[in-house]
Amino acid sequence: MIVLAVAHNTFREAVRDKVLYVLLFFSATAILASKALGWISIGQDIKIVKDISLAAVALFGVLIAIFIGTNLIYKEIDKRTIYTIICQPMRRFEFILGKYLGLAALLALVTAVMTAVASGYVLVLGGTLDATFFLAALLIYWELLLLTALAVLLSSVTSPILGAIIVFTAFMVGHATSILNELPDHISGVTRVMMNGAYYILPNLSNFNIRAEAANGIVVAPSYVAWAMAYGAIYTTVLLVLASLAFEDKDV
Amino acid sequence: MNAITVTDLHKKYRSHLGRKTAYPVKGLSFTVAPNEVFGFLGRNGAGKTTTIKILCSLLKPTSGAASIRGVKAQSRAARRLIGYLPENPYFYEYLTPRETIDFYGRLRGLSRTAREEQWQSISDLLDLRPIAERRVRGFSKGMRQRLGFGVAMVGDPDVLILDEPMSGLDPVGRRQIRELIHLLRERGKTVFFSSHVLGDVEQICDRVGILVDGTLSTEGRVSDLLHRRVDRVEITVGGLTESKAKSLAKSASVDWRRSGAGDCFVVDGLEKANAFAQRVLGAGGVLREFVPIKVTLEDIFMEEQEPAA
Amino acid sequence: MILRWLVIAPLVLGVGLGGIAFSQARVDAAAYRDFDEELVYLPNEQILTHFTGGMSSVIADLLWLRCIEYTSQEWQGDFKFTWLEQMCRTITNLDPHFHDVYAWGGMALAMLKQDNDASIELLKDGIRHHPNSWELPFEIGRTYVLNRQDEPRGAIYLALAVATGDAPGYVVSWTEDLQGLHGLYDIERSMWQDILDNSGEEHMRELAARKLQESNLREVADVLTDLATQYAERFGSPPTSLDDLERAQYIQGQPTDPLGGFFIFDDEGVAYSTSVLDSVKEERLVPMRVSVDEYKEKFGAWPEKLEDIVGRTHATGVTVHPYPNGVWEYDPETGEVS
Repeated sequence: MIVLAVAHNTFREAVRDKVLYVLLFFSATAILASKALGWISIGQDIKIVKDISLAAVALFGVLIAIFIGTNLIYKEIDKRTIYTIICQPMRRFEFILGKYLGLAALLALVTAVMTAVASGYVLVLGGTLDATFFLAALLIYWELLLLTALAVLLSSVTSPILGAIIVFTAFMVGHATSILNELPDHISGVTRVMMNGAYYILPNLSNFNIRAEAANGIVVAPSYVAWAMAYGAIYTTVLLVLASLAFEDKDV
Repeated sequence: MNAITVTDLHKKYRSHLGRKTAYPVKGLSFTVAPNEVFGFLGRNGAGKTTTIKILCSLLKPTSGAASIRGVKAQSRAARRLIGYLPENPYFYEYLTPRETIDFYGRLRGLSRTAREEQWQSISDLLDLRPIAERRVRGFSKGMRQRLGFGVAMVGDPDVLILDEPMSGLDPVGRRQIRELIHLLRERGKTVFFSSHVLGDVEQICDRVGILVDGTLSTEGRVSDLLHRRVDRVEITVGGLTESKAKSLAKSASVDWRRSGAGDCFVVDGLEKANAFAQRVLGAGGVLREFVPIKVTLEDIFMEEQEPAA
Repeated sequence: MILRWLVIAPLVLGVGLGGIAFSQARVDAAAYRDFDEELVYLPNEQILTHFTGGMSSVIADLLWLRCIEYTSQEWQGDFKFTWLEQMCRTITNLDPHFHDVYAWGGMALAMLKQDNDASIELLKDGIRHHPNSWELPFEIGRTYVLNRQDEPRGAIYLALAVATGDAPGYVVSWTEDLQGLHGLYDIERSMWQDILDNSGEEHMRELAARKLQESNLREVADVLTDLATQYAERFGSPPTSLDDLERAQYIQGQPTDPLGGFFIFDDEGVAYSTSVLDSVKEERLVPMRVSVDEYKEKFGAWPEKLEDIVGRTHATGVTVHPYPNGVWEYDPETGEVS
């Protein structure tokens, strides 16, 4: 399959990107160092380790999605490796999809490795792991899939730097959207309606955030996880469709 | 059915802030017959690469039509019929030629056995075996060009579209490419390529088109183009006095100069040259050289540029 | 395509940069200065907690560590704890699941800062998020009893703590003592009745049913104790059984126990219901059994005597046997306590 050929190639290339290893190193360091913070606490050390581990997985996953994702299409155009590919008898969206899946596979690997490191560390420190911890990691991955789709979309229309800024902004805004539901009372009328509407349009990344529950050992309903994943899947698909459309008419 | 048909092709680029608009291709029309080698000439910026990119679905034309064997050039079916070699081809640096050919074979939808076969035949033809397992990263220009050719041939397409296939190659490399193009024609393929190297074009092309400022100013069979021009003949003579030579030149209305090698006369046309030679001999001169100067493609090319210059 | 960029990019950048600028202003206002000065002012605003990029629980942790530091510094210094409440509020806004903050914060606010209102508010907030936690209502109860000398109200919260079923023995006995002391049986009974009627959990309803009956029995035992005191004043020594009281005509007929137990007197004439005592005995056995098991794990063998667990495991003492002059039965062979 053409899509798989492109995906396979993308994965191979991304694995070679040195940025990846720098970020992995820093995230591993952060996870291992989190125990030091635990010493100051009065018995919350495992919670702190879990919190920082999941935050590291999330943050460094986002950075990988941004640094590699925004470069994905742009690099091909800039380096002209794309010329001999676009002229092949394949549909343009197959190229976009292939690039995306390659990076998604890489992110799966990275997330799994970091989660394994964090889990092992928690066990070594005498803590326990529950389902919520792994579900939190799964939802982090789901969030990364969404942000990567956005990065790929931007990669085919703009430069990596602008793309990186926009994805990072989307990340921050996406976690802040809950504020649109808790507006102060003096905002009313059209403004209020618009803001409430914006809540449904903007990507609500906090849907994927059950890290606090994971660190505190709280059970999360499977139906919540399922709906969050459905939300992510739909949003990601929309972004990929937009990316394909943007790329369809692009002059290379 | 023609291998390539281009009808009234236009391409317009608007810069992002709408200030400058560029028209690399303005009303271009030409055809390429099946099993023909067509040379596409033009200066830098004349629009050659833009035209080629449109034929290969990298760009969309603003208006006009382009088709490959009757199939619209922007379609998937057309892409199946062509093999494209871009100028300065880039490949994934960390792959080997074998892996590269395999990758493109997968993009073409070939099965594993088919890809293996392609590798065997292409690597043989292009002498890729010695470098088959080395990473592209360290390749010279010549090696990359050979690999690029190989990539263009994956899937055995009928129409090959090459953008400056000889650029940057040494004479050995250029010859290899020329021979390859010959071979492809013998195999029944159509080859359409752009070039600066006029000597090569003259040698291998059946037809040429000269692109000036986005439109075709000349098109035709090479032999026809060259034969349209009148040959000049340079006659170098010895044994004449300067005054004698001068008067001979004047009476025949030919250019003349005197040098260490003797008196050099430039006569238009073979017949006139023969007649003049007789007169020289009659005047006691000795023919040292009788050289018909053929009009080269370069001359034609340069002439075409003048209106633009 | 240009139009797309004229709309999308400014919109995204506008909202994002607006939020970033706003947070920046807040961060600047909250800039960390030396503890010596008027230190870490953490704005207690809901809005800030939205702009954490999904890192709210980590930020909560970091603020919590700062809070611990602050508390210990104040303890060694001014003893003012000015910002303690605000810190705890911010942390729990960021991470409402962070149970320990409610518990420790509530205790520190009540015990160290002597700010009972703040403590109770924080703990009530905590109870909303952690309905099954015994520590939180316990802290409230303790604050009412010790700091406010409001034993009735405190007892209610203590009863709530006991109702979770997780409260340790000493909490349970203290609760009973308080309730007995103030004849708060009505309040307690209404609480259990409420749980019986409304709780969605089977075991809570069973617990409530039994507790209702025990409450009645304890009220009866209280009355019997009062009568015994009068008897002692008259006869010089307390009654030894219900028969004594009946013969002296302080009671007409002997009260029965629907749970199958009966009423006894101790040497000082305090009456007890054996059903209640059995219930208490069961509750007190739990922590002891846990300590015995711990001992076994730690030392590889059952302790020789029950007292051995003191100081070696988490037990700080062997719990008092509820029966007057009662003794725990312990078998060092099997580690069984009864």
